[in-house]
Amino acid sequence: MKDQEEQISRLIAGLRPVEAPEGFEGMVRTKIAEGRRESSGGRPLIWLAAKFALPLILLMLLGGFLIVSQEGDINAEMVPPVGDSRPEVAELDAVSPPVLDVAATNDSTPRNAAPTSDRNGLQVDQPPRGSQDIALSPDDTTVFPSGVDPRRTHGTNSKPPIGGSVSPASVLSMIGIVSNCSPSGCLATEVREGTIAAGAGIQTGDLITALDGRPVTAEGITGQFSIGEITLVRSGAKMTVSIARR
Amino acid sequence: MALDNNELGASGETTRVPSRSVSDHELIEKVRHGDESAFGEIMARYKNPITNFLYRFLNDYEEAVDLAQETFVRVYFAIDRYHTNYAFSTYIYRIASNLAISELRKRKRRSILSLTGLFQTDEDNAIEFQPPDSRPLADSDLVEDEKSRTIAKAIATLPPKYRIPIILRDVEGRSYEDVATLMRLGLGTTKSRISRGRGLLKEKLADYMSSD
Repeated sequence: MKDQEEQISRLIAGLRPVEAPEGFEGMVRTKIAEGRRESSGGRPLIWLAAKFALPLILLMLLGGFLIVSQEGDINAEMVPPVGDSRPEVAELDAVSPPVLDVAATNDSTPRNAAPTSDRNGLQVDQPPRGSQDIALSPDDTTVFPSGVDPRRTHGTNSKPPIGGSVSPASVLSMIGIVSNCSPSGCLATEVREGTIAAGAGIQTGDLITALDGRPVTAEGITGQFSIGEITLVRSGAKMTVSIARR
Repeated sequence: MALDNNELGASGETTRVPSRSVSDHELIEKVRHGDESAFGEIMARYKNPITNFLYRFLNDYEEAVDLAQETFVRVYFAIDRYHTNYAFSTYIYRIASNLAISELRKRKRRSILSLTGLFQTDEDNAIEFQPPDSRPLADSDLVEDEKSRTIAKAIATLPPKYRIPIILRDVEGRSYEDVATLMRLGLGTTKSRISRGRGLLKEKLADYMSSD
């Protein structure tokens, strides 16, 4: 047994020893110097800036950008006071597009399945479930993203509630276009007579690709915007139709 | 069975620290007083034994060199805390052992994480380090290389509690007392572990034992 152990011991002892490589001591001294710098806090100032300050600044810039962009998207412009001095219906028709106000889309709120008529006699389809409340101001075709009736703001600085979006189909429906929307745009399947869209010359079969410069997709539109002009493709030709005011 | 140091190093090569005119403790004192050249002397004395010890423990030369350098860095920064109650060699080998055990734990964690087998364990790919030699190899050299690889791999597969005392005793030529002090074990336990470690190696090196 002991002989076997001695054999094992001799086998192990017979292994050729390895040596430290050239430059070993220099590497150790380099590591020691690095360790001294770290322990004495002697790192260059620029290194500290890169490690702590720059990420913090980038984070703050990113946060600020997100806040500003969100504000820009959802912040409704103040609507001019209308109140008691607002024009009569006939007068309004002569001056501006009709005001369309769609009832709030709330699961707890009863909804009329049938199309509603506004006081100008224009039929307005109910927006799809889950879509955002929208309203058109009396002075232009500005669309508000939330349930804000511009007539009730009376010129105050009140802002619409934050969040939500409007489906393009809902917006087009308000000006008399029944459409099917896809990522490439909204195809007008019907243009109701006597509506803003019909007056502007929109035709069935037009592919509406942008509202006032904003690309129209199947996804919702956030923020306030005006329907001053509609970009569409008709028979392969791209054209822009202005519907701003009558 | 007691093997004294003179029996070690059958190949004529040994990694034992040669005795010098200036003791380790004197060098330590000089380093404490800011003598950088004294630390260079310490490195000159121990860099090869520590590298060899770590290499036999890890069976990975690059890793062994890295840990040997780290060992000296730690010695340098803890030089004021070193007490001369122990031999300096015991002290530095203990630091190297602790680093080696930590490295083994890291490897174990890595191998657990490599569930898909993307990272093979080092033991699987262990290759015996050999210094470059441009001479054409004779058959006897090839056989010797294969033997060395097998022995090194067998040592590297021992559990650390056997591996450390075996390397210290049979590779580094430390006395049983030194090994016991270094491992903070009793002399009897140390001898028992060395004996048990050799027993485990016997099974793996049976082919070479019959020829010796």
